[in-house]
Amino acid sequence: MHLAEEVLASLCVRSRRAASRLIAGRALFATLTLTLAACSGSASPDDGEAGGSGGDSNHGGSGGNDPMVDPDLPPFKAAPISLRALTRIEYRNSVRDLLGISPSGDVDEVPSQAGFSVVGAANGTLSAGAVDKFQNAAYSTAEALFKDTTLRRAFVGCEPASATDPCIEAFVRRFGGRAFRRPLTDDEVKKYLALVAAVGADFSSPWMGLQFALAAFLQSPAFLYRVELGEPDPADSSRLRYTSYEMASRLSYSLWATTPDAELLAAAEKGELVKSSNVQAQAKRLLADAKARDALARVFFELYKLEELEGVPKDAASYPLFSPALVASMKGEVERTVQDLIFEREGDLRDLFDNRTTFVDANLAKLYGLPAPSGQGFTKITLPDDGARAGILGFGAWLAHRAKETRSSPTLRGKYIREEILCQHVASAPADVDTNIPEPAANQNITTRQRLTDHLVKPQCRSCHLQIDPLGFGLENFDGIGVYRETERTLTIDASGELDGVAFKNARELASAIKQSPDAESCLVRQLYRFTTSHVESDDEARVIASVTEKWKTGDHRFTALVTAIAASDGFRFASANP
Amino acid sequence: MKTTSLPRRTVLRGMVGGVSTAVALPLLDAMVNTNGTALAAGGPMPVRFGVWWWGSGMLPSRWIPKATGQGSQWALSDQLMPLAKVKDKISVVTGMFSSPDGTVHHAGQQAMLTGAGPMGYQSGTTAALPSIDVVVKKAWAGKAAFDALHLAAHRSPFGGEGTTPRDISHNGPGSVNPGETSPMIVFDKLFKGRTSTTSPADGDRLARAQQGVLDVINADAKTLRNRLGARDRARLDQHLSEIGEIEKRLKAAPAMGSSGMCATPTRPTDVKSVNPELRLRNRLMTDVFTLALACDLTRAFSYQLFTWYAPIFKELGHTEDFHIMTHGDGGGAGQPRIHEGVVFVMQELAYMLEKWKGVNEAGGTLLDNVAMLCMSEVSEGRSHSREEMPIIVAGGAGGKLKTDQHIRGNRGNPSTVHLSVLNAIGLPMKQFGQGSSMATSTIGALLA
Repeated sequence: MHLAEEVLASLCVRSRRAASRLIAGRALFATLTLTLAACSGSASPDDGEAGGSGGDSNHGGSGGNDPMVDPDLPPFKAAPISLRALTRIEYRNSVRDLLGISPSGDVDEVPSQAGFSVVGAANGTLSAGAVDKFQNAAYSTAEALFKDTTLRRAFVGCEPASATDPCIEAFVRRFGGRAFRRPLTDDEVKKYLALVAAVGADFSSPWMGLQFALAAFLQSPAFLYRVELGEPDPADSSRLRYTSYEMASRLSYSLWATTPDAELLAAAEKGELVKSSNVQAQAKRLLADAKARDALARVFFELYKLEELEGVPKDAASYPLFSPALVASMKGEVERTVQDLIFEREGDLRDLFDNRTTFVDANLAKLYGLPAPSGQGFTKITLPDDGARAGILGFGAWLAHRAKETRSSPTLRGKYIREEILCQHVASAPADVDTNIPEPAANQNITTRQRLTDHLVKPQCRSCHLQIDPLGFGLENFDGIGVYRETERTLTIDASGELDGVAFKNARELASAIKQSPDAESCLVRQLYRFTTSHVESDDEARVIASVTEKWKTGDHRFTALVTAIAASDGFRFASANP
Repeated sequence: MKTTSLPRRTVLRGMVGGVSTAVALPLLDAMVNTNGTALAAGGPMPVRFGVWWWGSGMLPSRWIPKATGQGSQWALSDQLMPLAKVKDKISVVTGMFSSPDGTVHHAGQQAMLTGAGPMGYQSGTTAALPSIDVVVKKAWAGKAAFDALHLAAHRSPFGGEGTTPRDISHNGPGSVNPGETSPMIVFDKLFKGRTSTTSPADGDRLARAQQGVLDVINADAKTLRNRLGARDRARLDQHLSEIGEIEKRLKAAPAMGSSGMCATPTRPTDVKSVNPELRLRNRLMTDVFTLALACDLTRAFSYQLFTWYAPIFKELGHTEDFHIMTHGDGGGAGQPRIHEGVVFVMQELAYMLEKWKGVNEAGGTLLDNVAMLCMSEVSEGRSHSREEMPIIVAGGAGGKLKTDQHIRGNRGNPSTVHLSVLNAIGLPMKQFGQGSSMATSTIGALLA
């Protein structure tokens, strides 16, 4: 019975960290074993060492033999190259930085994968209609810029006498080089000049020719996609390295979410960005710039699905506090708290899980039962030491999203903790199981936890839900929008549970358990790695992940140390051929 | 593409790229005559096909008409009463049983749209087969400026459980045609540049300039494509095929007439707020959609009023979304608030059908030339019942479908309705769907 249950459980929750460890152990049937290990609900303590140690690439030239390397980790093999579309934010920022004006009209992006728009952009395809929107935005934006005679003169850099004025070629080369993040080929220059000349002649206006050329640049796949196809690595012919220009794009879009600036392009031109040390220096420069703040706070916006919060249905009768204004406040709290921790205080990134320094405005103070802050807007506060609320799991934004219309949802919360915080995969309910739990009668005095009894008793539910619900129980002191409560109906809430063998009594202890969990630590590294490199790591990259983790530890677990280590790592700089 | 000379100067007017335009364009065979009643090239207006969808079903006891038969032999039920003015143009089919097992809502939706059960996908489900609108879209590709329109009066901003909860139209597993929710965006796509006037010469220049831009983009794309591996090439091809569509539309004739709604279409206001009133949004969208059909800009479509990821019917004073309400007490015995919700849904369907009945086409109305399957994924929402699936077949398919009747099956296969309609619109298919939902026979009573 026990074994059967564990086998079933193994289908529910899978941990990649455990996977790397076992593959490292060269177990032929590792897949089966590891899922059992991950699902037994009592991961052995030595689990913690596997993912957190190791060295950089064992390829010559970069990384060397880190004494911390787990020699059993497989040799590093770089991820395949991938054509990477711009995300909506990257498009907007790039147009703004290239033209000095924001684009007119919104565009679509490839749907997210693995929780990140950047991963979707590197793997998925644009939805139907997306190209139409690029077209509309390109024409409208070009029109807006050229309507303004001062702007257009500054933008083009001259007052062209005709559609064949030599200054037009200078513009095409200069602007094209920035838009495509590399010098234009002579053929490309010729094509764009021909367009300017033809349209300019047709309309008897060189400006019209230039306006349509700009519309073409903004619709060209060379602008709308990051073309990073690599070149043979002189030090190792079995793999590709990203070119100096490609590295400029990679750094800029990963850390700034926009097109490279003049300094990056100058370094690219000199061929400097194929060297890890130069990449590291540029990464540090970019991270110190204000542009990095908004760009990198997006990691957490996307992870916690803040954009979805507006659409999360809440029953107005159950939650009269829930409103678009409150949603805006909830998002504002996450943004400010994350930026404060990672950039202002440069704190330990793992403090995300139990951090008590946060930002509230009047709406949130009311929600959290705190005294209203004086004045408008947000005030930085410290949550009470003995309170239940702390870290990510205390954010109204997190709690409200992971709940139902009329009640909390330990199942959803447990599932999200497994998936978003521990990087484990939770399978969905089998197709033949009715997942609806009957609503309790109005006069039935039971708690949400009691209502979920079915999950933990019925054999077809129990095997999975044992892995999920008990985590969510830890947050039962927060209702469906994150208001603290000690009772539900008239019953006292039981917020005890366990996280993979570590028992907790309430949300505060759950937060500490997560902070101390090696899975949570490794998950942060993986998430930042996915976000920065726009792909989900394979087991072949375990060495790089391990090395990055070591550097992060050496850097006091600071966020910037982690991102710098990723940017300078082999995983960011090398690639294998496209399948 | 036909390039027959125009019977009179046909002009595309408007603002594109900052220049007011009027562009002379060649004819597609889709082009409508000056009265909008027939094709300019001769011949009657074509049949249009699509799906009209709502989520969470109905209440069978108040949905099923009491009598079967035709004309005066049958009368509308409580919940169908809003369709009184178009009763003569619909067939109601009851007694149909959706056979695929699977997670509630998901299985019923896929059975009704694809004739097959769903496939597991991303902690939820997706379509195993293309949905019926896509089947027809492919069969009729190239006949009108847009091969299909996919529209949604409401599309949940909240994702999850795979691709099926938010979207009805699927090309196949994992690939959706998301319903466009902004009437204004749909209008601009259909009619941009066709609502104001200036000299034809400017328009010609503008079309040439736009073509010049497309040529440069295409050349850039081809250079890039040659450098890509197979996987990225396939991804870029999706982009290239959309550029091809834009090019086709630039060359294609818009629906034009010197009089009637196609000559001076009215641009709708936009509805931006997160959760606007469904009725307002639906009616704006229906108006734009009607233009697209009347002007023969598209012949295939999917239209979702909403899915089971439903909105709140604020118009009815509801405070919970319709799906949630179906699982609650629904206002007490007999779920009176669910009843009013279903009536509301039928009022919205009636708005569309009545509007189409008012658009004259040679020999009848737009509604006579439409074949539309109106469906939901369950019958009774509360129990997720698969018995008594709701199906209304609206329109006459150019005289090929019988109407004004209530047909009752005995646990019949819904896909037989689909196959009948596919045959009626001129697709001589012998089967539809797969597995337990596959149909190989038609319903004779539906076919004229």
